[in-house]
Amino acid sequence: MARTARTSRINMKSTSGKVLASVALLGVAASVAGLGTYGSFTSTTSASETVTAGSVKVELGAAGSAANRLNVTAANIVPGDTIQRAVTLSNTGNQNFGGVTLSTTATAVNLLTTDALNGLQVTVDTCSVPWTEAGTAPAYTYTCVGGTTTTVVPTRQIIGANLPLNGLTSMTTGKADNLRVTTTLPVSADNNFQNLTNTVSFDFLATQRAGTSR
Amino acid sequence: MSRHSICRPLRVVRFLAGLLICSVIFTFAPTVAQASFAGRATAPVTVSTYDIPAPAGVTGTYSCNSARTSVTVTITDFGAVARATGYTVTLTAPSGAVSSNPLPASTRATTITRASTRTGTFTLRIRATVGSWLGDEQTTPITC
Repeated sequence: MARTARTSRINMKSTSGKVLASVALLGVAASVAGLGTYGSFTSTTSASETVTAGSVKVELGAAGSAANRLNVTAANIVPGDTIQRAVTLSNTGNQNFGGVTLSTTATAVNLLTTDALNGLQVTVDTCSVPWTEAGTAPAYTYTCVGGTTTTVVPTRQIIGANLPLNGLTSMTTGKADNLRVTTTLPVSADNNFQNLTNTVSFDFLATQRAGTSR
Repeated sequence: MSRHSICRPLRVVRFLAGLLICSVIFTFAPTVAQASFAGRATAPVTVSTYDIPAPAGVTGTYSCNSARTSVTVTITDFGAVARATGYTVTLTAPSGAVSSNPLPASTRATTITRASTRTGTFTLRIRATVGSWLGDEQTTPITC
């Protein structure tokens, strides 16, 4: 009884043929690489380098204290009124600042902040020594006794973005600035400004110094 | 022929996916490169403007003519309004005609007269002013 012989040929054009060929190639390569590893001299050495990132941190004085009166509400103001609030801005990180900007945003939409001409106006000054506070809450006033006053934000509408605060002492790590924020309601504010309330957020942003070789 | 018709769309999809990935990388890589350290500190400032109240506690007398077409009101006092720079007293006739007496902040007494072409109810109004701002009115009807 004759048996039919079954022959199977690997055809390199087929998928199975290609797979087998790839496996074979990988095997050969791994073997040679392994032998090469065993056949060479090796020598290693190591060294470590510690890199610590600096911190850029700006802080305001404790809210409600003499170092930060910004959160003291001013109520019942009328045209011509002036509101003065002192706040200390400190560089508490371990790096110098490259710059400090002030951005202000309002929580409500009303004439106090939308009317650029007759709405609230703001001025920011610094004193080279701590401001001398007078008056009782909320009617504080500040004078720079024995120091020098410098205007860092000239009078302008209270809402603004990325206003540069130039010449600050706190550009240097560990230093602080004594700021006085003065808000006024112009006498030109008409009867439509009566009985309005708004909260303006003062956002101080400090950015890092320029990169150097360390 | 059939093999080409299946593979070609796949290649197109792969090409588009690659293009999308490259676009994302080239878009955001510069942003990452510009990242820097920053610190932020925020504080709120709340401001509210005055709501000028109406004067309270008005005291005085009034008299009408016999035809009841004219009234004279004598105000002897009313409560001071904080921060007022002045007051305005008005007397409105039933016909709509109005008499007005402006007062300085230091004066809270006055006499005002208004005649009318017809009888009816006169209206006395007192309001404070703060600069250009007008306060709420204290309204008193007077019937002769």
